[in-house]
Amino acid sequence: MWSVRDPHESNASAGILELGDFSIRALGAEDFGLVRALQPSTPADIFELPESDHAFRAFIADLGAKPWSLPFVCLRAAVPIGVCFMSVAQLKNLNAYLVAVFSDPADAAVPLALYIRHAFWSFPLHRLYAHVPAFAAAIAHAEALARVGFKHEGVLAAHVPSHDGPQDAIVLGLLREEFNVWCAQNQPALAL
Amino acid sequence: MSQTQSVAGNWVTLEPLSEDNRLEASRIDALRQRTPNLGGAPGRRDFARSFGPAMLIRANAGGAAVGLVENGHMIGYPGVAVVLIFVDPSLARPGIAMEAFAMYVARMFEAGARLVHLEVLAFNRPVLRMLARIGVAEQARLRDQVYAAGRFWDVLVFAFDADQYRQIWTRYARMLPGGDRGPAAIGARRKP
Repeated sequence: MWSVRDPHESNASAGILELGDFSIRALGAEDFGLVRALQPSTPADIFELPESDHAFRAFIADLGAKPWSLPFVCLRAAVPIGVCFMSVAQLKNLNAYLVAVFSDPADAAVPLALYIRHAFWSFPLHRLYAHVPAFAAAIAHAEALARVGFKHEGVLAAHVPSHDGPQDAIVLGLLREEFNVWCAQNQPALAL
Repeated sequence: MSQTQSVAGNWVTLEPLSEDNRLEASRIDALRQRTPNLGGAPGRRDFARSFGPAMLIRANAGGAAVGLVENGHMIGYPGVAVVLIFVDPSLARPGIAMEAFAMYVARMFEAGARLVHLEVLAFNRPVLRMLARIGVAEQARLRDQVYAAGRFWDVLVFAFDADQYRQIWTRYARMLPGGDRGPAAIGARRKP
């Protein structure tokens, strides 16, 4: 005997964009100022944010043309604190590379979980993954991903060029069912 | 050694793709599309930019085209070459893939690659055996990264630099009938 969960009797049917003080919304071409404010806290090796309004508009247009890119702003008390989007989506393999940058990665678990929930809710993704350079300045971003359930899958040894010589990139991955387990243990309202 | 020259080994010759071998390459490519092992082709690559042309693998004994090998820049990692090799399973013989791979990788380093990066599906035991035999260690396991043959599979990641490659080649060359003899360029076109 088995049963199918009725989405109308659970939160599975709801697109959740807010939780407590935190919320997420679509990133638009008018948001360059917001992205610029994140520049100082974003190691270029994680993601090189566009440096001009023109470049930012081109970047948003480019993302819009790609499948499953879902560029979003994360906010705390209506103040922008981060940007998330996906790239290198592989439709056949149902996975995508997650870029998540925050002004304070140590405090990013809830907005990051909101975004990840929205990504899994919006698309038939099976897996998200991320590479984070093993630099001191970037480790906080790897730890932020680990706090929402990402698992350490190894390193890409010496893949990242730097002034101090080649550095490793940390490989992190999160499966849909792992995220649901994380939600059940940490934020039940976000369970899919 | 020019990137447009063929390279002869003990068991195979690598030929740049050309009008002379286009039909053979098309046949092998069509076979590759139906072979789930190649589901391991990594997403983070850019084959529009490469460290040299794709090449046909031709068996020296009998002259049959048996495989293809190609490369592309790894997206986000300057100087890293993603290498893909495919050998027709019905024509594969011990040593063929290993020799073709070793000769092609040498060209990647000659063309300026800083690292050679490989991604192999967890069920592709012949290639995993080959890598273990030549002493290349797994760096990361991307869980459920690829959908192939009816389910999701892990992908194993390997990489090495030119110094590590020289050590590998030394070990490999000793296994060959020709001893420590390296590959030789034999000109731009295969003789009929």
